[in-house]
Order: sequence, then structure tokens, then C-alpha cells
Amino acid sequence: MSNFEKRLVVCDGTDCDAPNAEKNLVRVLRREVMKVGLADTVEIVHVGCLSLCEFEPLVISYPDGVVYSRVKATDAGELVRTHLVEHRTLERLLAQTNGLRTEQASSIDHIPFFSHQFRIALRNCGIIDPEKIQEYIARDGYQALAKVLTEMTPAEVVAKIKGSELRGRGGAGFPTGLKWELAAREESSQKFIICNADEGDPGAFMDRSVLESDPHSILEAMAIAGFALGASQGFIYVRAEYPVAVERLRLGIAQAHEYDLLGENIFGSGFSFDIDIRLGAGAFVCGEETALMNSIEGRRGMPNPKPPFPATSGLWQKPTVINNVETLANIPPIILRGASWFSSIGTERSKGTKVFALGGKINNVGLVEVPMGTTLRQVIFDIGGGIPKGKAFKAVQTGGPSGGCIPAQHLDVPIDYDSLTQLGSMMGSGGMIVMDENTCMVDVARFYLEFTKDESCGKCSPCRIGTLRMLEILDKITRGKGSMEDLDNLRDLSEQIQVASLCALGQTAPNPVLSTMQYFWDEYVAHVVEKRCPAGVCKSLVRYTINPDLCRGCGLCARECPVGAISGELKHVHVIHDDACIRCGNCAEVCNVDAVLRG
Amino acid sequence: MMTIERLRSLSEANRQPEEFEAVVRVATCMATGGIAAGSAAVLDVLTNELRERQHVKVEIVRKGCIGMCRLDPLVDVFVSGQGKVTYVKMTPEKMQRVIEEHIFGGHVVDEYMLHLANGLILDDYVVLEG
Amino acid sequence: MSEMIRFSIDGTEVEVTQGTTVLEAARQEGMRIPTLCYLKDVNSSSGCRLCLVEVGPKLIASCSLKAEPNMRVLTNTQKVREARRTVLELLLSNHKEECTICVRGGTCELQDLANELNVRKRRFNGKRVTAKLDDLSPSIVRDPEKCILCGRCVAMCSQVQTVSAIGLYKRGFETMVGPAFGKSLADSVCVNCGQCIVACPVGALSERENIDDVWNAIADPTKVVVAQTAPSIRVALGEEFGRPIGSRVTGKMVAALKLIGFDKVFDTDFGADLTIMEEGTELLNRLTSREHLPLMTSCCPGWVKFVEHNFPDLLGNLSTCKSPHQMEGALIKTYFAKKMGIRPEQIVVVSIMPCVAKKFERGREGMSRAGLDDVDYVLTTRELARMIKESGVDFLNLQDQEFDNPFGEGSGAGVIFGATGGVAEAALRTVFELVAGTELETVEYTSVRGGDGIKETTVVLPDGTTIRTAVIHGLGNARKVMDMVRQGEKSYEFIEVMACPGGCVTGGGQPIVNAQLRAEIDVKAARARSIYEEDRARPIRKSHKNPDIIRVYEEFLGHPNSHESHELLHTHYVKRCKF
Ligand SMILES: Cc1cc2nc3c(=O)[nH]c(=O)nc-3n(C[C@H](O)[C@H](O)[C@H](O)COP(=O)(O)O)c2cc1C
Ligand code: SF4
Ligand code: SF4
Ligand code: FES
Repeated sequence: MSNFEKRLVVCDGTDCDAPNAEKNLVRVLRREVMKVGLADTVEIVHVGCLSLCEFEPLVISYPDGVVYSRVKATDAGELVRTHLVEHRTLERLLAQTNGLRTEQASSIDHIPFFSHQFRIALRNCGIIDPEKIQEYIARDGYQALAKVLTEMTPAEVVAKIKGSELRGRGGAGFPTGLKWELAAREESSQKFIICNADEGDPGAFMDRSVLESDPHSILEAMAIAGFALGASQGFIYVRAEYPVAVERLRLGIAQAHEYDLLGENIFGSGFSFDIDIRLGAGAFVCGEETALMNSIEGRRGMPNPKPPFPATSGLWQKPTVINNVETLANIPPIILRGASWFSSIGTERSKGTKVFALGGKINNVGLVEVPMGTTLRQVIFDIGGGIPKGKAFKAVQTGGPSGGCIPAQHLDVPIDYDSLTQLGSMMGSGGMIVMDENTCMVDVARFYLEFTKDESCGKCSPCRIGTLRMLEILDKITRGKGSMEDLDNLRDLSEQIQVASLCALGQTAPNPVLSTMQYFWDEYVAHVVEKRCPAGVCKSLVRYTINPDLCRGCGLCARECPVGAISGELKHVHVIHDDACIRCGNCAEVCNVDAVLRG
Repeated sequence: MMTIERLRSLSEANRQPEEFEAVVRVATCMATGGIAAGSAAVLDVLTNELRERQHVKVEIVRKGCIGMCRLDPLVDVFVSGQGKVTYVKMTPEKMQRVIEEHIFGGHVVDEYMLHLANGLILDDYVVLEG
Repeated sequence: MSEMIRFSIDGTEVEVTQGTTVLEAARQEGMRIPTLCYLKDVNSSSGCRLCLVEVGPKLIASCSLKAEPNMRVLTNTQKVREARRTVLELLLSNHKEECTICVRGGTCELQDLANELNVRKRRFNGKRVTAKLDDLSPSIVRDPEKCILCGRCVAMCSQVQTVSAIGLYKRGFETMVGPAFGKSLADSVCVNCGQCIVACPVGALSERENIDDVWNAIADPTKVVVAQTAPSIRVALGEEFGRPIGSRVTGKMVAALKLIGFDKVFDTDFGADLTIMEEGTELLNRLTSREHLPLMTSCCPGWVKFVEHNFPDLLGNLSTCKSPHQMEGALIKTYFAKKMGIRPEQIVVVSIMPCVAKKFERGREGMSRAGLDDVDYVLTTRELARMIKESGVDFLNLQDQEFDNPFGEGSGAGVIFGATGGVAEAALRTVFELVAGTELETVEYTSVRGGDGIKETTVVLPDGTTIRTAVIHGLGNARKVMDMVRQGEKSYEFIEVMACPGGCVTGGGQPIVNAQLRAEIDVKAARARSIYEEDRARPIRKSHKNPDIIRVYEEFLGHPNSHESHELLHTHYVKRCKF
């Protein structure tokens, strides 16, 4: 561990835009600290943007948490002397003096990130000790199971879940009650309930969170489902990359057995139920329900055609219900608090809450649970704290690799299954990746397609070959070799893969391409017609030029260019030689007057 | 056999009292995010320290994820009559001080709590160089 | 009773039994839906997506979609056509195009479909799968670059045959069909049945060709090149020349062989009769000693290797008899050579077989004597057809010719070896009479005939001995029965197994019948029918009555299971690993 007693955090929002400017303040502060002999006890670090641009540069002193704003290099000496040597606050630069409201939150619950949330699925997460069944019980755990087994018939349970209008949180949003009803209706000596904890969406981690932080809620829900369907055996299919979750589930199952909450004759009702864990090897497609069942049965994880649906012929051809972790986490509260309580939350056709994993260009990265119908803007700006570095919002990608990109004009759309689908995206498992103005949408489409292409199981021809062909076309476009005919072929191929693929992986793989084509068509055209990447991301299309009106001939860029592609005399306008340029972007970063143009 | 009555009484018995009586409850996040950030080391300091002092009235809770892993390790301290205090980005050293000053001394260590400016979380920073 | 279901296809009301797929229903109505991965009774994984039809808002693969009451299916809409064609264009974009020199030129389902769906340009180009040709096996050549991943071979090998020598490996675009760990088929549990070849719609799987070897032998003036033809060639070869499935072309086949340069043309039926003499005697001996029962037939080299891999504990139950063409080859190089006064080294024996496993078998240890192989080359029916075509012989207009002597005479019992149940029936005809010492009235044991995968019959010999017989075709069925035998759930005295579903008539070396036709016609029944016709047409219908056989024993071998016959006609087996 470090020996530093204090840390001065310098934030001037210049981490990638103009490294030179900030280095000054950090450098000057370091020099001043050295001067007063504190170099060994005070650490000075330069940090990424905190999104308080108008108050920057900021210097925050830890651990005392005093915030100074609009600090200039010339203030450094005074700041070090006053704050570090004399242990007084330098009122003049104090953030409060500049109108910044600073505070220390005694409890994390009060910050906007949490206060805007509404937690049903995550109700116990971070509150109870997941390894102690008593704590789960203390928060009404297993009361729902008790109620179901002692007061209700299976049909009543199904009716209640139907009444709640809960829809599956694993992606497709199929009504959970209906799914249970279909399986309950089947005559069969054996039925199964499977909890889908494969969570393959890159960036999503809500299921892991629930399993690690509240495993009993899933066990209880599965037992309830088992009773409703007439299944005595459940399986949790969880990816092997989640060792903590697996461990907690194992422990949870053992504890539940110890307390007679799993096993024979639970609550003396005559209902017996047990749960086994099956580890998934981590292929994305194994989250698809039929592939998942093949995997449990010991076959290669590849989807089967549907119909037959699992509810009629699932695991070992027996009627089977597969539900997502988050779906199940909602079950006990619905049983205890009632279907109408649950259906009072949310929108017309999407009830309850949804957990989102916020990521990308957003200030508060993390998991949030909000009522259906919350707008994208509320989630991204109020809870997520907006876009770092004061950049403009460009799009939000929802639904992971199966979803699409939603542009700024739709930020006020209330989030639910149908609205997202209408916008050409989907709810998916709840990934939400925010993109700022520096994102190239063709590149984004390419990124997602690369993922699906790699994850295609290889069974059906459109997905196996088609996703690669799409990727090849996108590659061509981002390298500046695309034509308008390629765009036609890309769109046509996308539409055909959607309808022809065997499973939803292939059927949804084109969504990121089609949605970006829909909303950012101009960007595609710019790539193929003007051979230009407007966001300056696609390396082969970026051209660096120097604006002669701004260039002051300082020569910094020429010095930083690794291949000597910039020439010019001191105090005269410099020129970048495009054929030599390797598009590293150094020049644009070092120029103090923003004279280097990227585009 | 589990009965409803037994479940209810278990529930009652394990419910967290609104007011702790001379009980300190310390909770750390022990889900993947927390573990990755080093909450195990923080927890070790706590357990070792408490064992040394043979203090029985401190309860250690290993809890799950609250969804803001970038502030991990998080430590919640509940001292009787004072409600919950959340410390963020904890280290074994910081934990040592919280033990001394807060758990046994009764004084909240303001500096380790979450720092906000205009509602934005300041502690959630990424060091670029330093 | 299964219920009837009414639904509509392209506006036509149709009625089918419950459980019928939309594809089957459409075909019943005479509507054509293209398919590629579907192979009746073998594969309906619905991976290729060529059989898509429109149901409501969706396109669904009709090969696995069960018809439901009031379903409205559209098979010929713009949406359907575009999707099918795009899928096919994608498949073509990853296919090694060697169409002009491909062994499957003319029988390629992919080529047919491209034509049928009117694909006239390449819209999609890009990376293609690259992989090494596997030609290390003596029987089968695999070219993964032609594979379109329909999965028909894998389903055949793992589900029907339960051999599981090949599977799907890797994922996505890199997905590959082959033995585990990129091994060669030669180092796998492959039993060389060749059913994967006849399942494959394209040229990704084919036999290891020996055509040039045979041409070279024929061209060599110092060699006497002798052909022998298995019973089932004569009921299939005609198909290669446009005759209907199961047409009998025995005389034309013999004529063609002579025309293209074979010095002698013998009938392997003779070898089959010999097998019955040897194996029948072996059976009677074992019935007396009650050792190593049930006796299991050994005339199918695919089955033999299957036992070696999977039931090594039962190797002792396999008959020690070589397969008929190996026996005949051994006699050609000894008895015949002596009779003709030629040196055995001068003789080249070419077996024309419905089978690719025999290409493997001929190289087995124990299939040669003093450095001379019993059989030098094995050609499949398909290879023979290619040679005939290459020679420009007008096959269909040939005058029929007779087999040569001394191995030209085969009994009806030898002929029926070609059909499943044939060996058992032939053996029973002989064994019964040998024990009875009298002539038999009825020669036809119909209970061992027919298409069922597992048939059982019990015969009580005149001396009171019962022979409980199981007749099996298809290795999946064999595994089932063998497991039961091992568990003691079933006991038999005699088990006939043919590795190929349907027996030799539908062997891995027979003419390719495309998937569509295979769904419409029971190929094995059609060809077997001709086999039994030929049996009925033969004057002699029991092996021990074949005068050529009687003469060979008198002049050369002594008696069945004699020392001489053990030297020439019997062999041994080895344990092989399970994976
Ligand atoms: C490629 C693919 C991956 C999927 N991955 C998951 C997953 O990781 N977790 C999940 O719950 N559902 C996943 N699904 C959806 C499941 O097939 C299924 O619809 C879901 O588990 C049903 O549960 P629900 O009704 O509770 O949402 C995936 C679907 C596809 C097509
Ligand atoms: S759509 Fe893709 S993942 Fe799904 S079955 Fe086809 S190849 Fe496999
Ligand atoms: S080898 Fe032939 S049968 Fe096997 S998957 Fe490939 S194309 Fe299909
Ligand atoms: S999907 Fe039906 S034939 Fe291939």
C-alpha cells in the first residue's frame, strides 16, 4: 500500500483532448509539493473527467474531501501552502465559493443514483448477507412459498402470475403466467423448471448480481414455479465464469434443505422439490432455451427448431418452463404483495420494473432498477448522471447484440418491451450502452456483428455464413472500400437473415445494423460516398489536416508525429502529408490551439 | 419440518432491529464486483482486529451487490442510534481507521464517505496517471 | 388410431394424419419444397433453411414443422423465394467450386438446387472455410471444403449407426464436420460403412477411388484381371444408366465388364455359397459344443470393425469366415490359378462391391497368403459405372452375357446375401437340410425378410435343436441387440448383422439416390425385390447343391472347416479402442 497520507486529485476534463494543458497543473502542483518537502506524503494524481466541466480544473483533496474549483497553474503554490502546510482551506478557490454544491453523503442510499430507483428484483441485493438464509427469511423470505403451499392451488398460483402481467426478463418478454399455464396444462409424469442464468450479453450482469446477492429469492421462486406446474425438479443453468454465484447457489440449496424449504414434503404440503446446478461453458447461444436444454442433456449447445416449444416438449422431451433469473426474482414479491400491486407499476403492456446495466459513455456506470415506463432520458441523465466530459449524447444501445441503437430524438420514449421493439431495438436482458458524439455508428454496428458472428453456433446457414458476409461488407465500408450496392446488399442480407435464421440469435443479429442504418443512414453514406468517417473513428477514413487559420506554427505536432508526416517551419503554418500519415492522432491531441482537424 | 409458524418466528428473530443496542453491524460487499475491488482484504482486517480485541458485539455481514461496483469495496457501518454510514473505496488502512474511530470511538470518519458535488459522485474517479 | 388434421397449403385444403410434417404433407399433394439438410428417417435438424415456408408472419422450416389444424401455409410467396434463394447464395459463397471435376457432378443436390432456384449470379463473396483433404482412410475421402454442414452424415453416423466417428466441431463459420480433434477417419472409430457418403448431398464425402489402379492392371498385358461382382451390384448398376431403382441388369453387367477389359468375370455368389458351407458347419459345430454362441456373421466388414471397437469381449462369437469376396479371391489365386496353369502373381482380383468397407477389409491382416492379397482392388458400383461410361460402352443396349467358370455358378442362396436376412435364410436352407439329410420342401424363410431393423425367428432342426435367430441391419439396431445380449436380456444361437441400413443393396458403395427420391421410394425394398426375383429364377437355390461348390470341395478343399479351408477361407480379429 502507498505511504501517502494525502492525495490531491486533479481533474480538468482534459484526459484525452489536450494532455499538455493539464500536465501543467499536475506538474506545477508536484513541484510545489516538492518545494515544501511533502513529496513523500502527498500524492498527486490526474483523473478522468468528473463531468463538472464548468468548474474545472478541479483539485480535490482526499481524504478530507475539500474541493477546489477553477484552479489555475498560478494558484498551485498558494493552494499547497495554505491547504497542505498551514492546514487551512483556501477560501478563494473553494468550490462552494464558486457555486458548486458539495456534500458528503452519510449513506449511499440518498444519492440520486439510488433514490430514483425502484427495487423489486434487487430488493435484497446489498442489504442482506447472501450466505445466511436467516437474513433472507428475516426479509419475508420463503413466506411466498409458504403461502403458495398452504393456501393456494397450483391453478391459483398460475392465475396470480398471469394477473400480475409479468413478462419474461430474459429477452423476448413472453408473458410468464401464460408460459406457466401452457406447461401446467400438459399431462406428464415429469416436468421441469429451469432457471436461465447463462447471462451471455456482454455488459449485462444483473443476473449475476441477484444470484450472488440474493440466491434464495431464486430458489424460492423456482419452488413456487415447480408447485404451479407440477414439477418436482429444477435446474439452474449458470455459466461457469460465475464462480461466486455458483458457490452461493450451492450453499443456498444446502441451507434450504437444512431448513426443509427444499426436499420432501415442504411445509407438510406433500409437495417435494429439488434443485440441481448445471454449469454452462459460456457460449452465448447456450442462453437460448433449446440450446440450453441440449447442453443440459449433454449434447452440443445448438438450438432446435420451435415448435415444439419447451412448455410442451422440453428437457428430455418433458414439459419444461425456462425462466430468466430476474423474472424469477419478481415471483415471491408478486405472491406476497399481490398481482394488482405489481401490475399497478409500469406501462400498459409492460408491468413492474426492469434492471438495466448502464455502461459506455455515462457517468454512473452500474446496475439500476426502474419502473417500466421510465424514459431513457431519466435513466441516462437523472440516474446515470449524463455523459462524461460534457459531450453530446448520440445514441443508446439497448438489448445487447440483439438490440439496436436509439438516437437522441427518442430519448423521451418511456421504456418498455413494445416501445423499444418499435424503435428497432429490444429490451433484451437490459444492457444499456450509452454512446457520445465521438462514436461512429458504422463501427458500432460492426462491433456487435463481430460478436454475433463469433457466437453463431454454426447450425443454420443464414446465421453461420450470413453474419460473416455482413461483417465483411461492414469491414469494407469502414475501410472506405464500400459502395452503395454494398449498402443495398447489406440491408437485403440483414432482412433475409432476420427471417430465415433458426433461432433468435440469427434472427436478431442484424438489428444493430438495421437500426443504425435507419437512424444514421447519412453516416453510412458518408463512409461509402465521401469515404469519410464523420466521427473520426474509422482509421482508414480519418484524414488529419491542419487548419491554416488556427495553426500558429509551434511545431509541437511535427515533433510528436511518429512517422515525420508533418512539415513546416517554425512560426509558419504546418502541413500533414496524407500519404505518410498513419492516422495515430497524436497531432490532434497535442495541438494547443485545436488546429488539427480530424475527419 | 418447516412450518409457517416456525418460518414466522425465524423471520421475527432475525429481523434487523431498528435501533441497535450496543451492536455494530458492519457490511461489506462480497459479490464479484466487491471481491475484485479487494473487499476480502478489508474484511480480513476487520475480522482479525475484532478477534484480537475479543469484541463480540460487532456483527460482520457479508452482503451482495448494490449495483455500483466502481465504489467498491463498500463498507456500511451501523452503530446503535446512528443509522447507516457508507464508506466507499475502502482499503485495509482505511478500515483500520474506521475501526478505531467509528466502531470503537463513536466518531464517523467523514473523509471516507461518499463525496458529492452537485449530486455527482466525486469518488468515482479513474486515475489516468499519478 | 391417429387423428386426421385439416389445414391448408397455398390455399388448398389438405388432410393428413397427426404428426405429419408440412413438408411431407406438401409432397403428398405433389408440391415441391426444396430441401437440403432433411433426409427422411435420418436428419431433420432444420439447419439449412431451404425448406422455409410462410406461416402467419413467420418463415418456418417445413421439414420439422408438424401440421396443425387450420394452419395456413404458403410455400410460394416472394418472401419465401427470396429467403430460400439468399440462403442458397450464402451456401454457395462458402462452397469450393470444383463442379466440373467433382465426383458428384450430376448427382449434387446443391447444384440441382442452384439451378432450380434460379441463382444466376454471385452476390456474396468472402472468406471460405479452408481445411485439409482427408484421404488417409482406405475407404473414404473427406473434403471439408465442399461440406455445406447439412449434418446428414453426422446424423447417419451418430444417430442411425451409433458409431459417432464424425461430429460437429468448432462454432460459427468455423464449424466443421469430422472426427474429434481434427484426426483422420483412418485413425477413428469409423467402420467404413460409407453411409455418410450416400447421405451427403455434395462431394464432401466419397469413396477412395481405385479406378486408375484397375485401368493400369487391365492395360498390363502380363496380368490376368479377374472381376467378381457382389449380388447387389446387378440390381443397382442400371440406375447409373437411367434405369429405375432396382432394375436387374446382371447380363449387361457381365457383358460390360468383359467389354472394358476384364479377362474373367466371376460371380461372388459363389463365394457366398462357400461362406454358407463354412459358416453353416461352424454353426453346427458350435451348436454341438455350445461354445461361443450366438454365432455372429462376419461377412460384413463394417460390422466386424464395429464389434472390434465396441464389443471386443464378443470377438470370439464372430464367425471366423472371411467375407464371400475374400474367400473367392483366395480361391481364385489358388484353385483357379492351378486349374488354369497361371502363376498367382499374374492374377489381379478386382471385387465389384456395393460397399466401401471392403476397400478397408482387403488390406486387413489375414487377408493375404505368402504376400499375395486375396483381393487386389475393390471398386464400388459407382466406380464401375464411371469406368463403363469412360469406356463409351452403350450399357443399356448390350447383349446379356453369362458369368465365367469355374466360379460362375451361384445358387439363389448366394444371391440373397445382397438383402438383409439373406445370409440367415441361406444358412438355414443349408443347415436344415444337412441336419435333416433330406430335401427341403419350402426354401423361403420369409420371416427373416423385409425392412424391419431387427427381425427374429426360431427354427427347430429335425434333431430338435433350436436356432433362435436375429437378423439385424443398421449398426444402431445391432448395438441395441448386442447390449441386450451382453446384459443377458436376450439369447440367440445365430445373429446376422449387416452394417448398412437395408443391407448390401443399400450399401455405401451403391448409386447415389438423392434425398427427395429417397423420401418417395423405399430404395432397399425395391432393390431387394429384384434380389429375391433373381433367387427365384435360379435353378439351384441352396448353397450345398451348387455343383461348382461341390466340385471345389471334392477337388481342392476336402470338406468344410477342413485344414485347407481354414488356411484359405478363415481369419481372425483384433481388439480396437473405443474412441
Ligand atoms: C442467443 C440467445 C441468448 C439468450 N441468452 C439468454 C440468457 O443468457 N439468459 C436468459 O435468461 N435468456 C436468454 N435468452 C432467452 C431465452 O431463450 C429464453 O427466452 C428465456 O430464458 C426465457 O425466460 P423468460 O421468459 O423468463 O425471459 C437468450 C436467447 C437467445 C436467442
Ligand atoms: S441462428 Fe445462429 S445461433 Fe441460431 S441456430 Fe442458426 S446458426 Fe445457430
Ligand atoms: S459431409 Fe456432406 S453430409 Fe456431411 S455435413 Fe457435410 S455436406 Fe452434409
Ligand atoms: S431446414 Fe428443412 S431441409 Fe434443411
